[in-house]
Amino acid sequence: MMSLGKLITLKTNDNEEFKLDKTVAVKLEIIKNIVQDVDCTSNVIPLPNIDGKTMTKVVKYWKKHSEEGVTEVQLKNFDQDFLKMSHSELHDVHLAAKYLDDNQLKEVIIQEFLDRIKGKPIEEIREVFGIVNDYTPEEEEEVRRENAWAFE
Amino acid sequence: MDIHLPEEIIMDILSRLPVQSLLRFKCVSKSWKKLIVEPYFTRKHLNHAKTNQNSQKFISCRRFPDPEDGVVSYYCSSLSSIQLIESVQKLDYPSDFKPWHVKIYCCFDGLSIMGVSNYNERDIIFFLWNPFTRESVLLPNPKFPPKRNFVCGMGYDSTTNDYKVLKIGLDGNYDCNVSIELLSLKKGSWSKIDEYSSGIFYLFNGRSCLAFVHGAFHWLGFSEKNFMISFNISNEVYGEIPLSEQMLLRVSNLMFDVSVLEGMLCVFSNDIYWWGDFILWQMKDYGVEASWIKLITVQGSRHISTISKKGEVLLCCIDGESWIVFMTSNGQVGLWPQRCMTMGGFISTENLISPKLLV
Repeated sequence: MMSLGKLITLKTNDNEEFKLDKTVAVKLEIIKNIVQDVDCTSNVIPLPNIDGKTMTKVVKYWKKHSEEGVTEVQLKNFDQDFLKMSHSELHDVHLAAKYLDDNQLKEVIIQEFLDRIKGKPIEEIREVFGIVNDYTPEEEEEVRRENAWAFE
Repeated sequence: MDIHLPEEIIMDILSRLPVQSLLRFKCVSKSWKKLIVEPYFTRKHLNHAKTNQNSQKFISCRRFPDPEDGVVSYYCSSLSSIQLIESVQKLDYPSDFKPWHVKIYCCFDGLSIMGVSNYNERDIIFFLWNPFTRESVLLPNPKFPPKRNFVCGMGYDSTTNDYKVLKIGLDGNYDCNVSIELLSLKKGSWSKIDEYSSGIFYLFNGRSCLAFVHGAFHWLGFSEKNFMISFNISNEVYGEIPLSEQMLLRVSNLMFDVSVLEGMLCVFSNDIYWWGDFILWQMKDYGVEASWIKLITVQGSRHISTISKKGEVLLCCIDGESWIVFMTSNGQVGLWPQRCMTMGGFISTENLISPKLLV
């Protein structure tokens, strides 16, 4: 049985604190390493690259996915709902997952991006990634011509 | 919306995409165009593609290029449902060269060596070709004049970060008059390689390619009995790989060949002119005779190609008069019209590597 003393606190760069059961937290390589390295008595782990808003999402994902007795179908539905966020929020979660070395979450996010850009015109790709087109119309036409067959 | 994303995050996503999408995405922005052609990214993309079954494609080309402009027609199909997707490849021939016959000799890391000969196959020139980006580059001319029969193999020398092509030519199906040469793409030249030792004839049928695994090319040879020859591309040293007793009983004619399955050496029956069972042995521990196991037996079919990822083998057999059935060792894949095709083909991995940057 887990005891109450087994809580770990994750502190984001905007000083939001997340209390997590240690058994959940140490599933992540990075947390495990920090727990082993850092003075564990304080039980507070700083996350300088992640803000509270993003961490809320990540923790929500972790909690659901480590819930006891949760079914495949429930997780699938949860993921579907979880991924309903803006492009930029999704990027934030991707960055957080990468920083936390959470490959499962990272793969889920990447797959969502792949679904969002699949078969979309170039303009929409720019929108998904927040990219400003720095080609002149002539330059863009030139690149398009060089790769004309790929647009067929 | 203004997002500043680290390149790494973008690469994570882009490296999963098919080549055709990435060629389109060069239009997104200047920085994307730069990223998509960067060798670091193309390598990352290839490593991903190698683990993705959807990125494995069957590549085959028509035997005769267009007589007017020398354009080569080829097919690139997914393995899940062989659907004919015909594409064309323009090649930059030397000005006085009249292309007549085309053949893919080997594939490695998704790149192909394509040989084009002129009428009566008097001369042959080679292209390094990426069928997925439709880029090609003419390779330097070999030192030896074309032989009646030759096989090629391509491999990657990790000690020098260089792709190399080994070409073995001989006048008949088996004889002692052998010419061996090795092309280093980085050096841009062929160098003559000495024969292994005397009294050996080489067994191959001109259809297959040299198997590359463990930094060495492999093919079957014969002295007092059949055995496998290896040639290390880094130090250019020959070696021998023993066959098992059980295999030696079967490997008694020319209808056997060497290939690679899941990164392991294998020997398989390659009956091209008559029906026979397809048998494939795999060497679990490289160089260890006792580790040969009989992995696959398929009745009455002919193997034509290198082998796909998940332990499946692509086979072909003639069904009726004019159709070749392509199947994996797990079941039928599809039909292929025989007339227009060379029967051979390769399974190759989608990739963005630019041949022009390698030579």
